[in-house]
Amino acid sequence: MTQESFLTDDFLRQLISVGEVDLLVGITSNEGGNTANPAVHAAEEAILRNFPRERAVLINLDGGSTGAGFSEGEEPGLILDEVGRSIKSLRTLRRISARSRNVFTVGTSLRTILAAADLSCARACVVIPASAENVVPSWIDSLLRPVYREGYDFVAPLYSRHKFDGLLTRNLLFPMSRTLFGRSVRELVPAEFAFSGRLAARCLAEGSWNDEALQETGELWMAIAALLGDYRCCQTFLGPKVRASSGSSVVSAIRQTVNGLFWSLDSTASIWLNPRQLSRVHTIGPDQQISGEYVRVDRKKLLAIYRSGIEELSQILGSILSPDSYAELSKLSSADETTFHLSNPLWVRVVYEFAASYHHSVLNRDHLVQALVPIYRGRVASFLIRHRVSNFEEIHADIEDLNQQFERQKNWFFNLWNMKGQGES
Amino acid sequence: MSLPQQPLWYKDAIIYQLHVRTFYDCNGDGIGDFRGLQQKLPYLEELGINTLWLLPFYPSPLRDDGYDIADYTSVHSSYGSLDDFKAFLNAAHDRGIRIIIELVLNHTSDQHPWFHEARSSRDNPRRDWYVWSDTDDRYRHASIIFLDTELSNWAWDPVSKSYYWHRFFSHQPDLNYDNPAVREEIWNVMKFWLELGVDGFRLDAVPYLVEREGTSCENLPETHEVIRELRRRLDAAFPGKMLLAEANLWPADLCSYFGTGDEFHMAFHFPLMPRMFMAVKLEDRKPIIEILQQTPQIPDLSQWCIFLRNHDELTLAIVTDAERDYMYDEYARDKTMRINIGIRRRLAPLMENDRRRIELLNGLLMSLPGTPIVYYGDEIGMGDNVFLGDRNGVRTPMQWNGHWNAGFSSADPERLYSPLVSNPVYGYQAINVDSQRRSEHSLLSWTRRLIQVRKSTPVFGRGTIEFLFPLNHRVLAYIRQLGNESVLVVNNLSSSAQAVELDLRKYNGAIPIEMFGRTAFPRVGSTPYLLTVGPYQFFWFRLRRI
Repeated sequence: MTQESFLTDDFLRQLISVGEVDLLVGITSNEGGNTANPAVHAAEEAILRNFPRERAVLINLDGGSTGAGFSEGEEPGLILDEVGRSIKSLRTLRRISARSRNVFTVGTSLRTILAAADLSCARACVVIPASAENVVPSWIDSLLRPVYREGYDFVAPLYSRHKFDGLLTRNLLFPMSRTLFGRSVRELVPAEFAFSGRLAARCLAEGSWNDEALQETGELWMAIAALLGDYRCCQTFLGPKVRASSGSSVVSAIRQTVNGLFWSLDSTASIWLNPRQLSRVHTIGPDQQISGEYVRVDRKKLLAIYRSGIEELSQILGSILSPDSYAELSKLSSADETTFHLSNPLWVRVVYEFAASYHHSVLNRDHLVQALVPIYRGRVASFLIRHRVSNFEEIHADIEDLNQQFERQKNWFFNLWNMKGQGES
Repeated sequence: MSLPQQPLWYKDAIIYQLHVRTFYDCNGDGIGDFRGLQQKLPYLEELGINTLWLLPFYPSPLRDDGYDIADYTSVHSSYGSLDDFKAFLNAAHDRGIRIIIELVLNHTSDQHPWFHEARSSRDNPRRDWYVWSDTDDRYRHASIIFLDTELSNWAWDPVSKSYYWHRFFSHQPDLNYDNPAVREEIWNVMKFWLELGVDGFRLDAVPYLVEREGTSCENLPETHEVIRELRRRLDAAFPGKMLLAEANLWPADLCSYFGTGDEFHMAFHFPLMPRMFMAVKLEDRKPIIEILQQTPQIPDLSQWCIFLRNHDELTLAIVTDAERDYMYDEYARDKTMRINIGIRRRLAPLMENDRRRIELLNGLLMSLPGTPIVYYGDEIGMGDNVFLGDRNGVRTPMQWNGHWNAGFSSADPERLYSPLVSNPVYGYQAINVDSQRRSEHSLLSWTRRLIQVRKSTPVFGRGTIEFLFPLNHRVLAYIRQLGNESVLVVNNLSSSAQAVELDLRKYNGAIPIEMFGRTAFPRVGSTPYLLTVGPYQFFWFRLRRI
């Protein structure tokens, strides 16, 4: 029986022409990506400068294409080094495009890159969004090198961030994944990341690509596959991360990432439910840095959303959370800004209860995840109030305490998870 | 006997390069000679080559493998006599084989009588035949070529108590081409050999003939004038004879030696050679296309000479630092294999004895623009011995059979001018002419067939080249065209099978006929022409409109 390929004939034709490569750079775009993109130039320069002998291909995944993208046969120009000498690869730097008038989902992009990696036998691959505003060649090098030269299978980025930036990562994704998976990767939903051909082949074969969660958060699923699959993982420090000017809303961020995480928990439970010793993931460069970039957050608005959410979603929250948890959250609604504090233990309990309810499908999973949004806003407000004047060490201590809370409540969560619940047969 | 006049014969030539010493020893003294070479002419004729280039065979102290000439109009006694040479030359011509001999213009041996006279006194009439100075600080901008052995381009002569100029070894004093008497005498030397019937000269180290203060003393206009003068006299007195330049330069600089068609007929395309090796190792057409695109047009009557290996190291002088590092890493990881700025290895060991790669490189050699040169022994895949010092490892005796001294000489093995290659892989018991003659599938038989096909059309020697740019960069494809004849060449530079789509719309309707098997392939249409090419495989298709 023939099965329709998700790769277009044109893209396949290009891939056949590229043949085997050592390095693959996937540049994802949904805005009609083009060769003038800074990410493309950074990738070209990184390859020319740092991997002149390697066979490399740049793949432009051009969603929402209006026909731009790489021209066939177009060769990247030379670059000049510090003393003005031209630098060029010994080989042809191949550039191909997968274009579509439709928008590429994260999952489609990732699947296309994984397929390209598999077909071209790439040893090391890196994914960069074309929208990344401050990608420099050293990023590409820092991500590719551990895979290509040191045999890592998955390389997550580390950025220098403002203390109030990346709060979903710090308050949920990182501590929860660290606790359950036994390995700590700070950026579980990396915009830029690298992986080995070995990991690519496995993910391509095992991904449930038609699943909505995977379509929306493929990179998170891949990171989890690497962490749980005993692949060699590391983190590499890239420097400051410029926030995309048209960043996604908190609602969609939670919908995507938390849904992706919970979905992955569901599909990998047989692995993480077995006790694992916490092991460090090797970090290249500083573990994390706090930059001075100013981030403006409206705490009053956050609290208002929290209060209205707790009230309006009471019925839904009642079916997700334990009565104690809901009662505590409700009580907190009446607190003013000076006394508002959604504590680490409560936050962890709430998150675990959401994850278990997701697993037990107590209600529509999309609605379930969306119900977390107001509580998360409350958690953020609490974090901002508490750390208005905190320095890096104080924030770090608080996050560490949060990690411990996740750890302490783990067994309770396991029980919750294993309890036969509503929706389960 | 002279061969019939064919003004552009050098464009259709298949040149075989050898040193008389290496080929066949007829008198049993352990050194190859002209009588021996004459005996082996049937082998060369059978191989299909039509031109022989002989390395220096003049009387010489042999401190630089004969490039230190002590007498320009005679033959080194080890190789026979002048009469032996004449007999050989006539026999070669009888078989339709032309002879190119080596001539070192720039310098002589310090044992040459001219130099003995020149140094004997400052008043000697030949004093000014060389370049003298009371100090060693003239021409400071000229580089030292043999940095490993020479500290200066000036050497002190204790006899005449002055310095003499030498761009190469100190035992090789440079001739003074500002002196008309020198130019006249060199022309007399050329005339001597031309009157015997030789068909051309390979002129060694041509960029260094003239010195001027404040310059690099290389490629000077005055040097070009010397060449033009020789060419004028050659064309006037010996039409149809040929001059081949040895100048290891980038193509754009090298082109000046063609002049406007009034200097050299041919010049070696040095930069192409390492890039053919690089392309195969990289499995990418880029190095070859890049260098050929940088190569300017040359006058209509001029021609490039291309080669894979020769008697010298695989020179890496005309590559970038990154390319040189890559070539060393890939082809000469063992430092014993390196010498000067290059790699002292033969073709087969460079290709790790991979028959497919050897064939592919020979396919490139025979199909890219220019006149190909085959280095003796490469047609049977001879090996080398990197432990022999200098470049002697690629100059070992020809391996004729698996018997005594590989059939090269009846002398005791200890008397041979060089040890034979005797290792289990490349030794003469394994690699020799006789055993390969017995098989139609041997490298020797294959090479013979390749030459035959190459000679079946003048398009390879005289035609234009147009590169195709299929998306697959592992495939190097081009069209050679001459008049109405078009040949499509498709080379797979990679170790795996490749699919390639060629834009052949210009040839819509043509039927590709594979030239080795004369097999017809599907007609070219208006859509991309799909071919699959096996690992390191190449195709030559005559595009016929029937």
